[in-house]
Amino acid sequence: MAKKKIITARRSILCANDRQAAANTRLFKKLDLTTINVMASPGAGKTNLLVHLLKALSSHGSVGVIEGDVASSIDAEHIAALGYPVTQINTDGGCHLNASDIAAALKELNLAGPGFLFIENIGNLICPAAFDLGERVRLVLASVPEGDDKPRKYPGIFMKADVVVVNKLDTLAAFDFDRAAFIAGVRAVNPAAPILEVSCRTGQGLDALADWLLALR
Amino acid sequence: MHEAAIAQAILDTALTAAGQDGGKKIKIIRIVIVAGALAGIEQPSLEMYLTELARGTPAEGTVLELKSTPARLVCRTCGHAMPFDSGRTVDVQCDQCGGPNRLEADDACYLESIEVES
Repeated sequence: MAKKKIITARRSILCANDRQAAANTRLFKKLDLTTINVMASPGAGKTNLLVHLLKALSSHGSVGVIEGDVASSIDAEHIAALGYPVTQINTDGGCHLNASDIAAALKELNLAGPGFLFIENIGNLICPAAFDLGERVRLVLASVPEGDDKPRKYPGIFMKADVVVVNKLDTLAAFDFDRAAFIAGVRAVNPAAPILEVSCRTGQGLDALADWLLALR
Repeated sequence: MHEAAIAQAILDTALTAAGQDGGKKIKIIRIVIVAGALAGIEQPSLEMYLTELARGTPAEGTVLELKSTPARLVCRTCGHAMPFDSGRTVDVQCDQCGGPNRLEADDACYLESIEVES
């Protein structure tokens, strides 16, 4: 007769990812790279933001990008054309980057600090929040056309943000975006993260964001 | 949305936990998972992936039990707390006093136990 038994073993489901993320953190530290995981919905302006930040930070050390996309290398080509080191990860339908993706991409990128490494995550406000990449900073980017309710609708990702950036501030007149409501939404899920407003089109607020990143070093 | 990756991770974790039991020929018949309200895990989708991924492994045909840890909105002015269902939008204002709410929730996701048959 079959013998049944319950094995109690509390262990994190994502322990394999978490272990790799911890190894990534050690490697980032060894390479002296401040690593920023940029998460946002598709079209929020992640790549544009990176282009501005790469320019602003390149005079302070090395800079590089790991580009995550479901498919295509449009964003990576754009960044490479500007002369910055970049490696593309295609997840072939996968909705997030994981720590092993980053370990492999980092080898290929072959970037050494001191400086900044940006990871552009898959455009998605849900899954990227669940996977630690070993980054120093989680930057969550929202944008005016998406609406002020996003922190209230996607609390998980805003809860984990170390800094929240609102892009496309130049379009405020065209959209019903209530800045106070957006801030209240962020604060309901995240009491501490700075909230910075920028426009990649006009350049507004980008220096303040670059300064915030530089202050981490 | 990322249930495929989570299902694979659950399967790997359960198989590892079962392996600690002396390596006898065993079958995993139940996997118990605890997930925070913000772990973003949807049971039907998770079960579908797990069923497929577990085929041909000692966990083939396993039952998946998902225990959700609750989340709540707590008012920072009056302390009034109400349960938060992850399918809803966060209310920024307390429905008692109008003060600012704060969401208390986690995205932990861990294996609690497995039941094996040998």
